[in-house]
Amino acid sequence: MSTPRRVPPARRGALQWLAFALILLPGALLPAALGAAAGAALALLSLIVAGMLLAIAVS
Amino acid sequence: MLLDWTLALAPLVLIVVLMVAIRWGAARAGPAGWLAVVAVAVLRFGAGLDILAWSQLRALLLSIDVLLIVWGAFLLYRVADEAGAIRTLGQALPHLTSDRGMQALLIGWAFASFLQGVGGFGVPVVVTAPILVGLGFPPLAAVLAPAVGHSWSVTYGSLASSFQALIAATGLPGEAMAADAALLLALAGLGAGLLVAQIACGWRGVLRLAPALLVMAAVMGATQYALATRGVWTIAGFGAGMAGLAVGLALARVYRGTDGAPGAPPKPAQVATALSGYAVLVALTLLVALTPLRGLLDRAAVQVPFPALATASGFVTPADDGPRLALMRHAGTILGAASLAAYLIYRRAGCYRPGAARRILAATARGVAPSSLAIASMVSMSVVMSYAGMTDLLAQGLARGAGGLFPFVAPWIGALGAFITGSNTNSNLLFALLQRRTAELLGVSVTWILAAQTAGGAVGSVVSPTKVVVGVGSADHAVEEHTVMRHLLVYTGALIAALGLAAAAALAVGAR
Repeated sequence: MSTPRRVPPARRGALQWLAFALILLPGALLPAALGAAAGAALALLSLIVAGMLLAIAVS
Repeated sequence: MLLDWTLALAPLVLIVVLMVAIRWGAARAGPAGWLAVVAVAVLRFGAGLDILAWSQLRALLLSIDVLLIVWGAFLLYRVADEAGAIRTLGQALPHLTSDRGMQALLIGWAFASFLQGVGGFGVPVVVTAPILVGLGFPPLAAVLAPAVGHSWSVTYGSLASSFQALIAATGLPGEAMAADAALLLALAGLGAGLLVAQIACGWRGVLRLAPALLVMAAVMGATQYALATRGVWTIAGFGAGMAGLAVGLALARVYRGTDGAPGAPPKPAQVATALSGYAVLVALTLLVALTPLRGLLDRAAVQVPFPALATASGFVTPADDGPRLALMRHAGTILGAASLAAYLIYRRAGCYRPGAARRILAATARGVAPSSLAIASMVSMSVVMSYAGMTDLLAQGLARGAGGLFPFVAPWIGALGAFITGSNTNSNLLFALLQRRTAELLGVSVTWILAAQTAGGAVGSVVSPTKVVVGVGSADHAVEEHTVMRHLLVYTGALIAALGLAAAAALAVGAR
């Protein structure tokens, strides 16, 4: 996992906003995906997990 | 039972360890806490995919509700700061009095509270500590005075983002909680002023300044109470700071002192221009709150009904209408409009250098990114804990453990959350629902316990390591962090203990 000091500030800001989008945006679709297919819901949930991990890596 | 309780507590302990021992920021510790909560919720508490899915939709709505205000408040602050408005106000104040105690009250208490009202994010200490050092205060006093002085203003400060978090986390209407929170914070305001006077000139100075102190505390507390209980809590902290400055200016004529401040004061027209950006915010807030425009704008709202959900362990969360996001009349939207209007006013007055708009937007995007991540992850964490029954279990344990002493404990929980996360907002997101459930189990007033939570969180936030580091940096590192921390722990500890006593007294006399 990279440390904050290794990420240039401009890129860190962009990555933080990407992590933010990954954490929150799939939430809008999750309940609908649940009704359609469990696989779709799991895929969206893994996006949120990826967002959380990215946040830990770049913050 | 004990194992479940310990596991439910583990993610919160993890956040404490990550932030205090390993010194992670909230934007890193929050996501780590969410991952831990999801693991415990799924593996031990029987939370299924449906709970995780609906939790995340709820977290999205609650996060946006809080973040709109955080983003708007930061943007307005940048608009004013880029125009030199904050600097102008800071230059004007020292010329009003050379009385050391009155200077501390005006700058370290009223002005710091005003800055918390309009900005927050550590701004009160960053702006006022160098002014106090410039006036000859020792660096330790220059950092301590505004740090303690603005603490009472944190909940309704930053355009009430912490209070909005309290609403979002508990699902209770703001109108139901505003009065008790404002009363308890008014008491904290008096305590903060008293401590500022003590820091500046000792207990003898407190006695000498007592009349000014009491008048300013009464005016600020009453203004905050009046605004918060009339539904315009976004400007309650800011309005209280303004009222404190206004009455402080009048009192400065009495406590004038003998020496003049160095340099020429800014012209009245410059001060008026500096304040104009905030005047727009007041006008827009009142326009939306008190006219038929409110009903019109209220129609544009987002609301999703949530179904009843059950864990495999049998914990059931009943169906509800879900949080309602009235986007057009949202305080964050009003802040955005006020920021645009303020920008146009300052630009017309020639306050900006070329490229100001780009700098304002870039600084805002950069500045709010970490807090946005922290808020999104902590809201997500709090919602999963609630749906999985973990919050309920923790509340049952607290109710059994603390029992009748819970009112004394409540502000310390709020303070601990803020100390760990560096934010009254995050503390409310983490612990407000837990406090609500515990109060319900014990059969005591929920609104007083939540007032104790947020007031404790407000005071506790100023002693968080991140804010102390920022404060010491603003005094050019002329004082050491551990020294500031040690003194702040004593001052804020006294304030939090007083809050616990006040909450217990309010409950004992059956208030509400």
